[in-house]
Formats: sequence, C-alpha cells, structure tokens
Amino acid sequence: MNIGIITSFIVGGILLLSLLVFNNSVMNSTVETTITVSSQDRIDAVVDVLQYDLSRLGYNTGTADNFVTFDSNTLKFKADIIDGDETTDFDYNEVEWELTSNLATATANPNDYILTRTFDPDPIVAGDEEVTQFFVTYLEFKYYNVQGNITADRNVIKQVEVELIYESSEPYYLNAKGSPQYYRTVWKRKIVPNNLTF
Amino acid sequence: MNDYSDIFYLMAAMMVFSMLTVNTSTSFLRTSQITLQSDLEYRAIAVAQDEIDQVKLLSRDKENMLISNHVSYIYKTYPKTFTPEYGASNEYSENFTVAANSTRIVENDPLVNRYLVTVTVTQNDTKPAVTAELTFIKAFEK
Repeated sequence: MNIGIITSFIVGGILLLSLLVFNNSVMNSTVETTITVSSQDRIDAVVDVLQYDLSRLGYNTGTADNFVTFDSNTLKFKADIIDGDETTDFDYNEVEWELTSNLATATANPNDYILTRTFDPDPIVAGDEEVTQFFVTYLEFKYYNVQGNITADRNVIKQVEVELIYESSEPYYLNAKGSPQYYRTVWKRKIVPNNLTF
Repeated sequence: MNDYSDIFYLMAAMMVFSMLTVNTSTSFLRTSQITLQSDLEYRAIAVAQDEIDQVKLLSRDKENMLISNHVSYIYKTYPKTFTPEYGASNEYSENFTVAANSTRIVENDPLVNRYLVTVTVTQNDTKPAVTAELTFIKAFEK
C-alpha cells in the first residue's frame, strides 16, 4: 500500500470532516439567528397591540368604572379603541385579554398557550366580537394604586403591570440529550393609562 | 523542493480554510451579540418607560418632586440599580442602572411650569453596554 495514498486519505478525511462540522455550525447559527429575530418580531407584535389597547383604557367611556374583569390572567376593560363614530359621546368598546389554559397545538413548542384578544366594538350588541389569537408562554397582569401598591380595588387602579414571556414556536437547537431548546424572550412594563391618572 | 510542494499546498489550503472558519464564527458571534443587545434594549426601553410613567402620575401639588434642589426631589438617590424579576416564580432577573434628572424649562408661560425629565437606563451585561434614553415634558398648572 502506498504510504502517500494513505496519508492523502487521512488528510482528506480530516478536511472533509472539518467541512461537515463547519457546515453544521453555519446551519445552526443561521437557524438560531432566524428564530431569534422571528421571536423578537412576534413578541413585539403582541406588545404593540397590548400597549395600544392599554393606552386607551378609560378613554371616552364616560364612566370611572372601566374595569370589567381583572385578575392575573384576564383583563377586560372599557375603552374607545378606535376613534370612529364621534357622532355619539362615549361610544366605547370593550377589550378582553385572556391567557387561556389551552395549549397551542399549532406550534411545536409544548410550553405555548393561547392568548386571546377579544375586541367587542359595541358592548350592547351580542355576537359582534372579534377574536385574535397569539401564542405565548406566560402572561400575568398586576394592578397597582397611585402609591405603587398592589390593589384589588377597581376604583383605585392607576397602573397595570404586564409581564409577557414568549418562546419560539420551533426549537433552535437540540442538546446532547436530544431535548429541544426554544428561544425565550420577556417583556415587562408597568403601564399608566393616561385616562386613569385623573 | 518538488517533494515538499504538496505539503505547502496543504498548509496553504488549511490556512485559507482556518481563516474562513474564524471569520464566519466571528460574524455569527457578532450577530448573536447584536440580537442579544436588541433584546436587552427592548427591556431597557420598557424600564425607562416605567420611570417616565411615574412622572405622569404626579399631581399638581407634587411639582416640588421635580425641582432638583428641593428636599422632595424624586431623583436625589439616583442613579439606582433596578432588578426586575421575570417568570411565574420570579426565576429570572437582570440588573439595570437607572439614572434620571429633571430640569425646569425656562419660558415665559404665565400659566404652566414645564419640566424636562430625562431617564437613562443602562444594562452592563454586554460590551458595549446597552443604553436607552427617554425624555418627557411634564407640565404643571401654576
């Protein structure tokens, strides 16, 4: 056996293995980056809508009693979400954000739950609700008075704290044991709706 | 010399390949750092917004809290470290340094005093540090 051919095979084999490992590394990094950016976009989409709704809490409702339902997983409130029919005063809508206990089966992530936003354009008329679904891992509402203390009294709520955790719907990496790793991002804010500051 | 040419070719190929892998890895590391920093910046902005929102809550009789040489100035103990906790059991946390100040806007308005509030939030877990700065003008009726 020619020693030169054997050496060539060994060197060529090492080079080929290096190329395969390099290719795998590039693939993993690309997948991780794509999933990371996609996850940041998705949590931003939820946060945008949530912040918009909460900034309108109590606006043009004609009442100081703006909270319909409020607990750690559900928040339903009155607000003029879309400036539209200004021919009538206090043409408010109702919006409900609820983290359901239903797992999001449409994603590969077993930690995802369905978060619903129910927009009721006319609370007097039944059956006109518009439901939007998001998939999140965790959502919690907390309610504070003007001094910054947690309160359960709807009449003194001035601040609403929202904590949202989102995990990617697909894994970006399988660890050595084969268990999938999901990209996780979090957002937390204590919002002071302008119309509650009076 | 002819006997060693293959070795030289191989060494050159290995050097080119090494440079390729090192540059690619550096590029991916930088991409990861940028995505991590954007994530931190997202939360730093939320922390700054929280601080601004507390100013929105100040009622007319609390104007002194924005006067920098007053005893009740709200930012006299700043900068401070703020550690929000996340998760159902508060299993995650991170540190932000929050600096803030307010300055009276000098103007000839007979009805309103206005204060420019500047909040700067810094997160030092990455290099360079992530910084978010927000400003807000709070008005008090005289």
